[in-house]
Amino acid sequence: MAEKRRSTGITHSTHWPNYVGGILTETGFILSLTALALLMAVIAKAIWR
Amino acid sequence: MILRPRKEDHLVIGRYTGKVIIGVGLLMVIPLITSIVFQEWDTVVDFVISISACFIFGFGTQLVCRTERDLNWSHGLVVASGSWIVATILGALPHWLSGHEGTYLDAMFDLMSGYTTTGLYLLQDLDHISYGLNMWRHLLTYAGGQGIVVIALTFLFKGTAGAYKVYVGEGKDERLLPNVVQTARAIWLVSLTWLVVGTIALFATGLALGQEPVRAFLHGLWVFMGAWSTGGFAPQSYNTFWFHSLTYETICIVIMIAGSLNFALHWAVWTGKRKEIVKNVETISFAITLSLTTMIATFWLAKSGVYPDAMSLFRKVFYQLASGHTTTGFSTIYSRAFVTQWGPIGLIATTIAMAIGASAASTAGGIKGIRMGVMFKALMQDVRTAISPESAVVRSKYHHIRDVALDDGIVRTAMTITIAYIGLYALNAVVGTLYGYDFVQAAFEGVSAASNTGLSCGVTSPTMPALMKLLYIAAMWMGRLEFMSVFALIGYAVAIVRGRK
Amino acid sequence: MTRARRIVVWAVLLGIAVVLSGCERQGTPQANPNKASSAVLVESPKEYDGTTVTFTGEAIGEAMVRDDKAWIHLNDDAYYLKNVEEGAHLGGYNSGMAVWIDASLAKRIQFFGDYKHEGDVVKISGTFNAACAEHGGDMDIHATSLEIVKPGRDAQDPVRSWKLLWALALALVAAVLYVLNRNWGKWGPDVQQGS
Repeated sequence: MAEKRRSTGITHSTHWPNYVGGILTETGFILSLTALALLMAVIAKAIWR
Repeated sequence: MILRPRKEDHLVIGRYTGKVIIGVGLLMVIPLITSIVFQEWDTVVDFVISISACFIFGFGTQLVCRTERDLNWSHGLVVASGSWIVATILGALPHWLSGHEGTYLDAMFDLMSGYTTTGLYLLQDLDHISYGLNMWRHLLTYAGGQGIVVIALTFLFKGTAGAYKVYVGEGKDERLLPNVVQTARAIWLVSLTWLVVGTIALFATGLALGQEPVRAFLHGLWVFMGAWSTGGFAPQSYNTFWFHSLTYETICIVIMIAGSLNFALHWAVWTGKRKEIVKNVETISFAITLSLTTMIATFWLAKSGVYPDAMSLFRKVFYQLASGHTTTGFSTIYSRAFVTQWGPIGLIATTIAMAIGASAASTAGGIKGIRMGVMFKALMQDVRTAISPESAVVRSKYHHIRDVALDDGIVRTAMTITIAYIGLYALNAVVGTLYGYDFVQAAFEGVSAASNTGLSCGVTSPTMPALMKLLYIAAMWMGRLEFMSVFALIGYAVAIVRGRK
Repeated sequence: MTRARRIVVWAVLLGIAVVLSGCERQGTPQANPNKASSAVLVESPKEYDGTTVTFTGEAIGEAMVRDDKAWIHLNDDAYYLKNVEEGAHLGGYNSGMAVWIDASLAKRIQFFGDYKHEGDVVKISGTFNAACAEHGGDMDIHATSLEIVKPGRDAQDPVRSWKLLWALALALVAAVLYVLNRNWGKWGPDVQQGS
């Protein structure tokens, strides 16, 4: 698309490993919140059977 | 003293609004093509009519409003909020022409809900609508999430100084890069990269879950758009309950939360500042409030014994709460189940999550994490001042990309907007209650609309009073634009009638 | 002057109100085929939890086959016999139930409801779960039998000629405006450069 054609450099291939790392970091953060919620559910179910 | 706007002001505003509407018309080409591909001829005609209407408005204003002047700040605000209204009126044409909307007001409700990434809808018989119309529903929520103006900015404005003023008017004042067009490009880069990754993940999962390739792809794309824009539209009336899959739900959660992060944060993390994600005031605030509200709902539902085991408790509670807190509005339970299974505490916990919302400069709505963080820090600063010796000067700062000193101006702005949100929430809740809905349900639904979430406990329906539909439309609009642009537009209208010459 | 202006403003507002409310479509919805409809099941899940129910509805979307079982969705709403394109009256949102059933039974369904199809109307019976332990707390019915009550068909949505005329006329006007604009010499990617 337009922004890729006249790239100001942000789409240059050298950046992509960094971007992928960014996505993985974000996913990791979100999954750790998810794991915390699962832990809460396990504890809650242990209290109120 | 208010000055009555002159002809020049009208011309500038008309010209830029027209450009945004041309952008909306161009956006409709995608659903038009979708309909042609699937040979849905009636829908094709609907889109030809709608695109033509947008172009007539757009080119008409270009023809009438000939001016070389650039926008000033108040123009920017008026264009931002005004073009959202015009875009809603004209964008509602395909919905209305499809025959699935009870009134034109209903169609406009769906459009405003889409642009503002809310996700409430009044469209009836969703399960029988065309692929073209479904594409339009999801595309407008994806586009609205990025900002209609950002889109016009990228393709039509070509970097005028005024463009930045409209951009701010749309409620996104982060500059990731020195120049506003570069910023728009960076936003697109993040959004489109996630679009590709997220759609592929959902598409592959859909295939594994037993969907036909074409349906799996379209569902993947649309669910991605609904999740990333924190919109909450889904292609079936069952919403994401349709898929019955832990994997699909987990991917949705990742996309919803990723979509609710500040674009400046994305950019920092993507350009190597990985630690930012655990240091940023917004992610910290979000993690705390999400965990607290999840805990309340989890413990309450465990106690009331609605769900048989820990896994189903986790799946149901965290999905709805993450969806509510990111202001997405996806659900894996029936709307009425919030009332008949979750009960008042479950409703209230979700309402609080929706009211707070996620990050600023993202597609999310609500009060937002940065304001929660700033207000909390201000409170702590006051407490520390109170218990320190009189001569001591207590300073405080918060971390958003870099350390920012907490001064009274920042706190004041955060408080003002927060109060405006709470006022809007309260108004919606009170009006709903006056119309005879249960208070807790009216509050849930009212907060859902004003925070651009879209979860419903059954108050929103095609048969609800027209005044409430109008109120919700206004609430979604004000909530998304964070009030200032809307106030500017109202001021502009007042000035036309009553301003001094 | 101000009086005239006020009249214009009121006229516009009144016009908008008339247009918005005047476009209402309504009618009587189709009668629900179920004793315990999906709305009733969602409204009082506890009462029906674990009981055997029979449920009739239009098969929607697709059957998602998972090994030897499958998910199907049955709608018992205002559109289960006829959809909006074919002239059904608007009667609220879709409403239905998710059903977990043997894949072999699910494969008997020929038509699934979407824009181009009115799905088979199917009658199943099985156990209703308010929050199914096997399926992560989903509200569902685990069905043991399936019967096709009314076969589905291709749905029609012909282009109405008045719509086609509007489309042509508006497209023409838009094209004329576009050309006018172009020849005025000022339209195009913006003139100014700055910021």
